[in-house]
Amino acid sequence: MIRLALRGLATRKLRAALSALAIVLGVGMVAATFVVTDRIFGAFDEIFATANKGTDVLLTRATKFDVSSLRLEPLDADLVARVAALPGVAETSGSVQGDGALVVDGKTAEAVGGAPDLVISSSAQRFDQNVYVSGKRPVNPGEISIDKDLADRKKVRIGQAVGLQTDVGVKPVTVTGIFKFANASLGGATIKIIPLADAQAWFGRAGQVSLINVAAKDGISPGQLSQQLRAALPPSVKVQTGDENAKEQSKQINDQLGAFLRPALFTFAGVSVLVGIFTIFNIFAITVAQRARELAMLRTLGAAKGQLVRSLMLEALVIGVIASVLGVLAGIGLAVLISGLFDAVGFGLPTTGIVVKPRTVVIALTVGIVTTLLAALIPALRATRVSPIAALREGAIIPPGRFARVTPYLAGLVTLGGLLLLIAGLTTSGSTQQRLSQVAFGAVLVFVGVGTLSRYIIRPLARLVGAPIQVISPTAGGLARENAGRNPARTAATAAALMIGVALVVFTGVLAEGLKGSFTDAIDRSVKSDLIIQTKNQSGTLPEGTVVRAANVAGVAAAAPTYFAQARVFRETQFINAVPADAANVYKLDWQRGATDALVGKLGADGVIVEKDFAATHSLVPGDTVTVTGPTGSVKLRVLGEYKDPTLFRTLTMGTAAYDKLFTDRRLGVLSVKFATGADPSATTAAVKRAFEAYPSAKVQSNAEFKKTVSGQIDGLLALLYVLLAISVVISLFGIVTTLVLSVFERTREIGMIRAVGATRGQIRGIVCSESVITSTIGAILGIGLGLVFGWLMTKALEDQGIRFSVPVGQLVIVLVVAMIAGLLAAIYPARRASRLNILDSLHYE
Amino acid sequence: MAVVQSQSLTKVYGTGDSAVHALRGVDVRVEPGQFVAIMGPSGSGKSTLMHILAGLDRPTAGTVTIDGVDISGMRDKELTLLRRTKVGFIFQAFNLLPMLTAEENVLLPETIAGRKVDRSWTDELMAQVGLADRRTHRPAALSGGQQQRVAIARALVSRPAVIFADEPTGNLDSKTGGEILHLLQESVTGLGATILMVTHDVRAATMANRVIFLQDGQIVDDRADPGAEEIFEVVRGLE
Repeated sequence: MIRLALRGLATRKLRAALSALAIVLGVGMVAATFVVTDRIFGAFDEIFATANKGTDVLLTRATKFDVSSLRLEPLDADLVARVAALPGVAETSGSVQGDGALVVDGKTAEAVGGAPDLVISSSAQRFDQNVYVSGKRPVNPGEISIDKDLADRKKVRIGQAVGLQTDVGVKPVTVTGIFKFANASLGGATIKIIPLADAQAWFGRAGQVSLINVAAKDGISPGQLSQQLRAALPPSVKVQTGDENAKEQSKQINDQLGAFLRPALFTFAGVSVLVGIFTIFNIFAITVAQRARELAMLRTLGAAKGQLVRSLMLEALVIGVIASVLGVLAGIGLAVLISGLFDAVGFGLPTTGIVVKPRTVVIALTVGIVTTLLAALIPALRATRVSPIAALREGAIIPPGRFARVTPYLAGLVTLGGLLLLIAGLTTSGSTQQRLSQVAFGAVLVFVGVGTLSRYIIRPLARLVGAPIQVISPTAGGLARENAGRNPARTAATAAALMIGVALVVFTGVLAEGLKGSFTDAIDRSVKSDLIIQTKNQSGTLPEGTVVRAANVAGVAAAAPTYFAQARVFRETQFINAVPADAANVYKLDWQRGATDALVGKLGADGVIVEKDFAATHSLVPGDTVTVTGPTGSVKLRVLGEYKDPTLFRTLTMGTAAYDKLFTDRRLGVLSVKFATGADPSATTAAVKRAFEAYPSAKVQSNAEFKKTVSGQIDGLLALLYVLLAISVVISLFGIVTTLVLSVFERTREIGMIRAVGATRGQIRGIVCSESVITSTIGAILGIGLGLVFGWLMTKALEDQGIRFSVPVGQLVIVLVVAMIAGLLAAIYPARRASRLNILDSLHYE
Repeated sequence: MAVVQSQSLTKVYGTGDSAVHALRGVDVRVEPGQFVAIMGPSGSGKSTLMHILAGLDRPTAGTVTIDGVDISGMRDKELTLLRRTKVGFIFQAFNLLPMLTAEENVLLPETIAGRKVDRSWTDELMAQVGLADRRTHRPAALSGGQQQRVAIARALVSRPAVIFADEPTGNLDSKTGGEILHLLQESVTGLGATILMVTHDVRAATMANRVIFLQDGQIVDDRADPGAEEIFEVVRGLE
């Protein structure tokens, strides 16, 4: 029997290959997800480990909670010498970290895609892990060395005079060295090394250092030394071995980036696998139906039901194994593609070479094999319903099963259950992970339910969709309409695979539209100013001096900075805002419960205004006290009033006086500039831009330009998501190809008959193409419907955050047209096969 | 003891006004070594009778025994085992598996049943059906007559108590059909097989040593070794 199954596969090569394709891509996506994330996080591990290679113990300022910032809280510079004198210590070296871009020919050469523009002071030789490819380490004031990637990108040479963006403006520096760092690409990040004294002066660390590298004397382990130092130093100094520190940094990046990236990529892999399951299920179902007679014959020869099931499952297993192995290989290719996409969209993530860990292979293979078997199970069980008597009859069909009558109700229940689960996931409180899995599982149930239910509306849908085609081509269109409606379950399953991809595309589009809308609304609503100034990469910090500089430009009435930071409030790390007393000139807050602009002026050192959502979550009313903890200190703030702005000023907003008590550095995120009444907008804009030539990292934009920038970023992200979803759409197209090929195969005799009565080859092609377009259009229509429902639910759930539901009509039209074209493409091969059938042979075909 | 025996077989399709009585009380008794042809016009119930006698369909009333075992109340599992040991089938459309060689097709029942292959019996069979030199050919490389020979060897391989043949010459030209009928005859005389064949081909029926005539679900005649003339006469009388 085993041999029989294998032989069967060998003869039905095309079928096996087509079903395998659906699995290959799904498994490929799973493997690619692992490979991509392993490359990224492996690179981070490598970078952090390399940085601490020569360091036995690392000293930093102890903070009250983990902060992710390039600007470490400072330690007293005296400590460097004090620690050097302690027993067991061989050498110490203090260094300062800052961030700022290199300025080449008046233009900033900043990091790409949100990666950091690191500036680090030169440490003692033994702690320095940079490998110089040319030149030497910077020693004298005004010298700088830069990483090779940056040097190559900007064609910077040794001895070249360049600038460095610092807290105190652009400083002229001379390049003395070019180095490589770590055995991984740095992604978009740049590294610049300058002497300690320069770093202290330029990044606000006079008499201070960011960290101290400590080397142990021979015979003393890092662990021993860290213990000794911990005992000797005050608790304000955090003592870690180099390894501990590297691991901590790796963990932090994993928690932040990994928490987003992994589930996101796995979602797309999951979608591909799900679409694959639909496709394989359909192919197996068709195959079993077409082999009904053969199966019946085997039954007359004494084959037991179990033998048929086992033999079909064995076929599935073989296909699953081969396809999964190919899938892992495809995954490596897809991983390269995805990494390339990340680069193209401007995610500045570092990567190592390609790593395929054993668990990648094991999990990808398991997923591929298990899902193939799962998808084949129902069709295989269906084979048991073939009666042996079918071997003696023409046109053997499989009778409906015991559950056929309850199927619609069951599918309805599944759909309903899925929707409820989805809504529950969106609305209830609970851990993000729990809610996300509720949403994901709910969506899967809805897809399965609707995919099953759709067979009951395929006929009217096919008639509707086919009507215009029939107008264009009466014969082909008419027959195609009938063909599409002839086996509704088959058409439904084929269309359902496409439906999933389309639904997610539409859903993503609706959500992106909502996000853009909420942002645009927020700018229109809350911003009274005329210009918005940010660093070019948006995540950076503007130098404090920019505030005065902007305010002093002729025609400018006010320039208000907004400071951001992470702080602990109610035991959670939150992004908080701080504004100066005159911010109300620039921002128009949507005050609640009678609060007014006057409150902004009264914030002082102990007042705070809270966002509506945050106030509701923590039941805050004016007069309450909120304790806000920064990295090194705490303040108690009195609630003065409440405003609503879920987009720009979330959580809470304090005065700069309170902010300064919590943080060593001001993180100036946004500077808003308001023109004086009567000032000429274009002249004033030009003047501000001129004033900011000294700050090349700053980008001066009008409100409209800023909105466009944000929309553009969302569109960039959207494009990435679409490409990832496209893989699932491709899988479903293979599904359409396969279904058509099998249908053509099945209708060989009929096609011969139609040809015999005078149909041309072109007409036959027309019939097959029309059927394909009808199927893909049905899939698109179902997908658009579901996508809108999902999008509506999601935007409803996010209403608090200013996200509104709107139908992206243009996008829907594009999706529909693309689906039709895709349907046409999918029909090319099957249509050719059908049109080339020999009339005589096909009439004799059984 | 009879190889196949039925008692007052009734088969009704549908209910009420639309009910069709395919069989109305059929009693058949087939002895070992008989080559029985069942004849009758379309809709006479000959196919239904064979399906029920072979255990492929259930009678509305009445009983069937094969090799002395009552199969009327058997469940699928028992029927499957019965097919492995007691019953062979020959189809009009040959129904060979295209991916297997001629010999593998012949041995398929043994493979399915997980029995050990009897080499000398297989050799004898292949020689008997005249395909000793075609063992490794795929069905696609065989003529229709050769394919049906493979199917006959396949039906014989498990030495079943009875072989049911459904229009075995229906897809063949008359010369090849004649050869196949001779082969069936030889299987009965030389190998001691018992064959029950449904046919509407008079020449096929003349090769049988007994012909049962069916009309409107009832046996209307039952002749031993009838000649062609005799059969024509009966058939003409039925129309």
